[in-house]
Amino acid sequence: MPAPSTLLEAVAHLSAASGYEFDVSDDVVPGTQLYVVYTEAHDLPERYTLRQGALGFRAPGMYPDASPEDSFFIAPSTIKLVTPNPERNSTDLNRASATPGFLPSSILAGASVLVFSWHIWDRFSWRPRTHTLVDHYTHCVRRFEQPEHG
Amino acid sequence: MNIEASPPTHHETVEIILDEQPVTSPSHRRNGLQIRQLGNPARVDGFQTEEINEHGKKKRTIRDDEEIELHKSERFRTVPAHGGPGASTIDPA
Repeated sequence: MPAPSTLLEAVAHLSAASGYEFDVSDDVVPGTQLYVVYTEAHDLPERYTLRQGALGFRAPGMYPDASPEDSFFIAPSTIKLVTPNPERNSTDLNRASATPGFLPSSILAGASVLVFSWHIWDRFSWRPRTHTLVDHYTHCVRRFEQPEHG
Repeated sequence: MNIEASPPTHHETVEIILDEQPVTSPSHRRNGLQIRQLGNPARVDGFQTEEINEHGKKKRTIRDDEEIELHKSERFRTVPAHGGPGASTIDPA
């Protein structure tokens, strides 16, 4: 079932506001009511092994009455830190885990993605007439400004 | 006749872009909170102010206690102020 017009309009607004061409999946993720909002070429921090990758999140068909899912993803899931984080002695991205099945098969070939545990709406109530997908997106990319061990 | 250039006055208004809408500031100097107060009242408490470029990319965060010089057509946006691991919790809802 195609995404509802309210979500499509919000994604168009996100594209205009962010400077990235975001798209939305035609189908919901199997077993959910969530569509995937994503761009295939988003800038990534210099400390990552890829400087560009897919970035997105999942949003409900009943947006804006319900918030986007409280996380975001990047792909491919093989992205690592260029140099090991000294506090964790690891090149894995902190608070991100490879998650197969997060996307419908029509998006990025259903690839496994790195899902970031990076919450906001569990501690800051979503207000349908105030908050937007742009707010969710700007919060997501704030993750890239944080220390890797944060 | 000796005509000297007038010093810039900071009492003049300046039009900036806030959340993609033109707004008029009554003065050339405002802090992050005062910039947000030029726009949607629902996006003041619990939000912070970012200066962005013409492509919507963040240039920097303007703290609520940081007063800056405003210039015509500069772009700003309001974003939720809190979240992420270790963030403090303020929920005005």
